[in-house]
Amino acid sequence: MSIKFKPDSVLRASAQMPSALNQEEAYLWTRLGSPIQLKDLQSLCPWPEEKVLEVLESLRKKSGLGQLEETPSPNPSKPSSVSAEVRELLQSDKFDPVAKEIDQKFRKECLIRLEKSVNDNPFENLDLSVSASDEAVRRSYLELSKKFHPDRFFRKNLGPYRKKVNQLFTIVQKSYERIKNPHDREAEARKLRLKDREPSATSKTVKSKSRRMDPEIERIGKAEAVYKQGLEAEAASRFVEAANHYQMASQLNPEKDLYEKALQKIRPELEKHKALDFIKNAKKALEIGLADDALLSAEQAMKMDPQNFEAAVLAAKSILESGLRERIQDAFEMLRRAKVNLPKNAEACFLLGRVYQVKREEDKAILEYEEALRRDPQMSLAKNYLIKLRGE
Amino acid sequence: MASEYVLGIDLGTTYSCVAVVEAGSARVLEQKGGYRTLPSVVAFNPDGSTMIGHIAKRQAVTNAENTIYAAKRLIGRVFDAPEVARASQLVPYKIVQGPNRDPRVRVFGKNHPIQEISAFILRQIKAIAEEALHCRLDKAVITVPAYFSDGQRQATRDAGEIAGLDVLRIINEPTAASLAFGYNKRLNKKIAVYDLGGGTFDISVLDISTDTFEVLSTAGNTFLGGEDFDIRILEFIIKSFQTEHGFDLKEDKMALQRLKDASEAAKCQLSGSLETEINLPFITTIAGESKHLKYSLHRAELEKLTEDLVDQSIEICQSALNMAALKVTDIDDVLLVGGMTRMPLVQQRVQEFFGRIPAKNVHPDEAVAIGAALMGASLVEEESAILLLDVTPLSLGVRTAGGYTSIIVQKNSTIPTSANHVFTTVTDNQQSVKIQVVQGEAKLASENQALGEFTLTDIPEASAGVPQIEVSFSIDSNGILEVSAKDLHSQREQSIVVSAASYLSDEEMHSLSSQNESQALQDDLLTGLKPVK
Repeated sequence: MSIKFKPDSVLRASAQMPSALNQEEAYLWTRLGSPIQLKDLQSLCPWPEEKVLEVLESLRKKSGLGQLEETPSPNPSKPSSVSAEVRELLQSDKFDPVAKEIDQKFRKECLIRLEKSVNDNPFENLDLSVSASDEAVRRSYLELSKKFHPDRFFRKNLGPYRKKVNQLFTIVQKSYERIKNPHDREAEARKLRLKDREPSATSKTVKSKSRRMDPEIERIGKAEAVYKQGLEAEAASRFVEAANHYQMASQLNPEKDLYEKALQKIRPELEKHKALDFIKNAKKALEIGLADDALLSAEQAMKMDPQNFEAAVLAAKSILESGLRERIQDAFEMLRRAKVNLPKNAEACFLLGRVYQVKREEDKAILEYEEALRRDPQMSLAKNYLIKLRGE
Repeated sequence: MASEYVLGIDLGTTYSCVAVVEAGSARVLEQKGGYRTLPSVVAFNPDGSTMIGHIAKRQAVTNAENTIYAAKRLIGRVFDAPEVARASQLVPYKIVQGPNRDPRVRVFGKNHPIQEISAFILRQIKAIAEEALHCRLDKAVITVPAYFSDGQRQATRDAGEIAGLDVLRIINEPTAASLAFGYNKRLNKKIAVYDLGGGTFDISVLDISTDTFEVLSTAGNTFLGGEDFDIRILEFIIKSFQTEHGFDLKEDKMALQRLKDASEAAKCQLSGSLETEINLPFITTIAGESKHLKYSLHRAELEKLTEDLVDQSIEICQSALNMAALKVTDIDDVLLVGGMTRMPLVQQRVQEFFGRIPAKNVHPDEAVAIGAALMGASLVEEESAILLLDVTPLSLGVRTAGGYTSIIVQKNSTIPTSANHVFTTVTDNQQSVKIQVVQGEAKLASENQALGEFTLTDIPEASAGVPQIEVSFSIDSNGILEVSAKDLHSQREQSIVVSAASYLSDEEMHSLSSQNESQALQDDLLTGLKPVK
């Protein structure tokens, strides 16, 4: 009794070659050394398809049962493998005036293919087994290219499916690029075998579900990794870098407020750090005579770190140097506070003296200059002003 | 309504050709007088009217400065490109810089964009076809050299639009020729198409399996063609004349034009015979005395003058094979396309290189137009008969820090295709990023052709390096690039216009097309042809 072979049955010879094979049977046997789909086998053999079936049958008889394995390959478009998402999308197409006019079978195929393309398996994308022959790869590539090439729908309105079809065409092209030559194909197959060994899933449906979650898991995992890098940076006092990492982590996974909290926690440190940068800028600007710019930078620094009185001194100095009379009162306030908080700073006192002079309160100016000299006996500027004032 | 015919137009550097599919088979449409190709020449009269094709070519000698030929060598290029400088030296008409750094031709005090010149030719072709088929036509497939860049393709499509054509597709010339060769023959072979035309050289390697035409690789030079062979003869004679008479014929525009025509004619004759004579009486006047020019040129001399050009093309063939990972022996057939492949030296070298006699059943002047017509017919059919898998000839990338090119789409990628690249900011709270798109293989971005640049704006405030902006490149079936950008955080998309230097502004496109329409209406009155609406 003959046994029916289906076109997508995967066949392989599992024992040693039986003796007394004729030429045709021997030819077929060598082709069955590794698993192969019947349709691939038929395209490989130089005979008509029925002839291949005949030879297979006689081979089966000669080699005895069990020597020839037959396993049906999973068919991607079987209704049982349609996920709830695809079914939902197909349902919602009913409300799209363009989509509902497109053949439902075609739409379903598009959706299923797009869904499984996230597995990033070039063999699966081209409906191939990992052992596919050169010819089978090329045939499948041409078939699918033809199916999804945008030219096929040149004058058709595909509505939301236009983008999907273009996407599928690109997937077919890129998958083919990856496995078109035997060497690359072997490498891709090896990669897949490694991936399959991961103990993540047991049953097939769970596997496909967990893979579909991949981007989500990846995003969360990446957020955690970025956060950890941030912690390291913070430990090494690289606060700007740490803040960037925390911010990125919280953007990647906004649900986890730990990241946001870390960012809040580091903010004062970060601002102190940034304030130092602004102070540097302000000093530089003053050196080259850009008092206005210096004032802006110094004020930024004060905003970042209100406890940084060096910034206040710089701001006041900038006000004096740029001759901003209307801001002289601000300078006065800044310097008074700086003088108290920086008991060793001579410049704060000297500048306060200058402010008093501007305000025409020479007595108080003299007191400040004297204080500046007490703090820094070498301060020649203070000396000069003092001599001038006393001389008058 | 216009008819469903789709014109297949081979818009050549020196000659153009048009074909159409009728009742399943393609044929070239003839002009009055039985001509099957049209010289790609546009001449201007002082009153602003134009002459196109044969009449324009015939009067070129007496009107050299106002007769524009070889516009294809300029289309879609930027004014300061070396190719434009080279062309400027060799043509009698004046090339000036346009408002977008594009070259323009200056005639009677008016600057014409190159797209407009090509549009004149296309409009003439449209008229020829309408007369031959007795109906209104507006759909076309136009061919370009495979090695044309995005800018050159875009400019060609714009020319079609200005001429009132609905350009369904821009396809590559060698690919079109392969369609003419393999359509409906159920072939299963690998072929090489050697296309040496009037101005450009292309080599494409294809795998044909029945109705699927897959380009495996393409290479070429958009500045190597018949014109360069003519110029070699021209320069040789100018030099000889100078040693004999001490006069540089380049200074006499009319003499130069006569000599150019004579050089081309001599080259063509030498394909059939071993010797020819260049005879130009009264070529110029030196100190009141008329001079005559008479030289005989032997085929061997021509071959010596132009051998290096042929060798250049063979080198490019080798690199195309390398890119397809094929050996010469893997090629089952070689097609010769383009008028220049009539030259015995070219045929000999190609045969030597590929080790086989080139296929004889494609017409070197007509195959490209025929293939374009077949493609056009296939596109408008309910179920398309042809599957064309073409490639992009040049890599596409962006300029990155340090002035290097970062490639996003590799050359010889099958089109249509898409790819993306994620950009970020370099300073805190940066609100915009400027992105420069280039095409070519050079490592340094500045050495590649700049396609244009765009600025991404409204980036949400964040520290440097945090924003992630995904820029997507997609190349359509015409080989033309489109760019879009998405902020990965907000998932907000921005559409982007890549404004290349040589593109025409919308207003200019509009005004040129409407000019063309009114001109067309006038022509209708003259020929008594009425639009059927």
